[in-house]
Amino acid sequence: MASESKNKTREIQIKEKVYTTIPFGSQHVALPEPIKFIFDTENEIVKEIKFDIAYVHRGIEKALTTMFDFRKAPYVVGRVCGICSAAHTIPCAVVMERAIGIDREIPDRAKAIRMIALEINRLQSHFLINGHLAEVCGYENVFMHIWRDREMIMDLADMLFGNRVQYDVVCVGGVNRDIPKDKERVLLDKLNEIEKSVEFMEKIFTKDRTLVSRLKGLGVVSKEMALEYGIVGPMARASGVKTDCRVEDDWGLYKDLGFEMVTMEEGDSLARCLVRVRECYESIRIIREAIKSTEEGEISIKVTANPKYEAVCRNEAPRGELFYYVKGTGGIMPDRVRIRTPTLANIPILPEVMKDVSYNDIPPLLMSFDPCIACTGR
Amino acid sequence: MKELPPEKGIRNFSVIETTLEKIREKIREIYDPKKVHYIGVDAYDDGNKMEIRYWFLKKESNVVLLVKAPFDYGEKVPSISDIVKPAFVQEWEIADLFGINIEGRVENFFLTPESPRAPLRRGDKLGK
Amino acid sequence: MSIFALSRVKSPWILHYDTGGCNGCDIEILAVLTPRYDVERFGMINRGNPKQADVFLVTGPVTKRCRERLINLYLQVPEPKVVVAVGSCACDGGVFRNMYNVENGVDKVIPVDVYVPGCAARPHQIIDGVVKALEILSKKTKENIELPEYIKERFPSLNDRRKVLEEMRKR
Repeated sequence: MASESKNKTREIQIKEKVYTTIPFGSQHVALPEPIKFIFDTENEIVKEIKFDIAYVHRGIEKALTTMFDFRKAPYVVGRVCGICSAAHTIPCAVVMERAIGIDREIPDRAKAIRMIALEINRLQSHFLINGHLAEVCGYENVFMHIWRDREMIMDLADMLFGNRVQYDVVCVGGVNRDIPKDKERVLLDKLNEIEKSVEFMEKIFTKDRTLVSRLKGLGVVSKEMALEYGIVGPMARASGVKTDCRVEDDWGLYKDLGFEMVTMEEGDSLARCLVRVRECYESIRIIREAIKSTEEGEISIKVTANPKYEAVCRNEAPRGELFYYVKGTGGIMPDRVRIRTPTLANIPILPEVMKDVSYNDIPPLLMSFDPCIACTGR
Repeated sequence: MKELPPEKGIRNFSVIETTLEKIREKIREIYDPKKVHYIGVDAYDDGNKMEIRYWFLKKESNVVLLVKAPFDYGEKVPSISDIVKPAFVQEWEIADLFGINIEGRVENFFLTPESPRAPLRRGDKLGK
Repeated sequence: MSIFALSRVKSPWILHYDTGGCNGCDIEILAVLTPRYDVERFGMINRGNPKQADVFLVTGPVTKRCRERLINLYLQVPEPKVVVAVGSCACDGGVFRNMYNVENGVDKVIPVDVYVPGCAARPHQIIDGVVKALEILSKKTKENIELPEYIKERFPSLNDRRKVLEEMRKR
């Protein structure tokens, strides 16, 4: 009798699909930033996902039109996100220049220094996320190794720009400081060492059995899906979509220096990881070329007018396409600034990919997406 | 409803101006995931009227395209998230920040009950 | 000094929460745990669990949505505890001061013991701040707790306040 009634309740449960709800965040040891997911799971298989991405909403878009004038704007948007700070300051400065109408007069040396800042930013971000990915896979050893090597890049940033996280080297009209000859030499020396540690990272993520078997085939995004959801950055490139704003927008010297896009076809977590590792080689090459191609000289032009036109700028942040729009009115503050961050484009596909994945695979899958919540909230 | 090409020095993107009734048709006409990349949703408020704006990128010619439609305060705005799948996140965000009545919006997606209502609005302020 | 207080200072465990900053300080806190700075030599480990923590590291200017979570986490950390505000924006709002969704600093919400300024705070500064916090922690006991302002607002009657204090001492 008892077993019969037990069976009956079980049947009802199966019919009604009783899901176990697991909250993940906003405070969690695997998350350095506040994001909240609510997973409805059935036998540890995730069925439904709800997300809350607005813990970090501060109102920077409004502050740019009411509190800070356009010369301060690049420094403010650097604080949108600390991991991709240079990636934010550059398009903001460029879009202001375009709205004033002086973007064609920026000296080449300034463009080269902007590129160096962006690529150093990209290197440290890729090191960061790959190390963090290894940590959430339970491979703390690799995490410590990668983060130890990352300190070399942080030292470089400290030496060149005077700060470890917020470079604040880009201003409207050029850059704030030049790179002298002796520092160039140190930079080129250090890049050789960094290249060696990228090789080490590539060896681990291609040869190590633990990591490869954990990440291979996890969270596959096909090319059709990537196009349909309009995803950007290393995620799209791992699915075989050829998109990179460094060649699509022309604020830098990327076209002159030659640029090779890294793409892979698999579209799984391992491919996303490897795209990031291989982009590091390209970044190192670009820094070398940028230093060689320009000489010390003029680094900024005088800005006398206020922004009065409409302009857009697209920049490739470490996480993907970053879109800035500005509408000037001729006053010192613009009328509207719109920031579309890469994670905002990559979030809509997240519930789709996480569906029918085992719960213990969620942390590495989420980290391979490389979400940046401070960017998303603004 | 012609496409205005970029004008050097004034703006570096092309514009299509349309109306609220025709915006869905227009986007269905131009949007093709293989040729057009969806960038984002934006709104604009000049104090008298609002505007909904959709940003796209034409992949072949590498030109940013803006599709915009003006509307009055309080008017119901159709959602395009069935045509452009990833549009829903930014639509909800814009709905919160501007207080726009977009179809299928989620209340307090970006704001909190304690934060000011529709902070980016200029005219026709909402309460609090 | 009791044996508990002694051991508490020798192995303080860290709880870290980002209340809406730019991530810069959070990444520097992670960097503090890695080989170059190696904060484990002070016996510190980053634990996600508030119930095991002694040192509460808070970054960010406290957005309106994070406010309740921050208070909740603060109450869950057992007494005695120290709160370290890391970064300029955690100290007084920094660049985000007076933006519409921001509370202008951690000390507007929970009591702060040590302020670490800098945008972003360097790892050396963070280590220095935490070591200073340990000195404060060694002087704190379960008995000399003071109720924070926001709890006084919530519980106007003295009787209720006494109950909350007893509740906090038990943790």
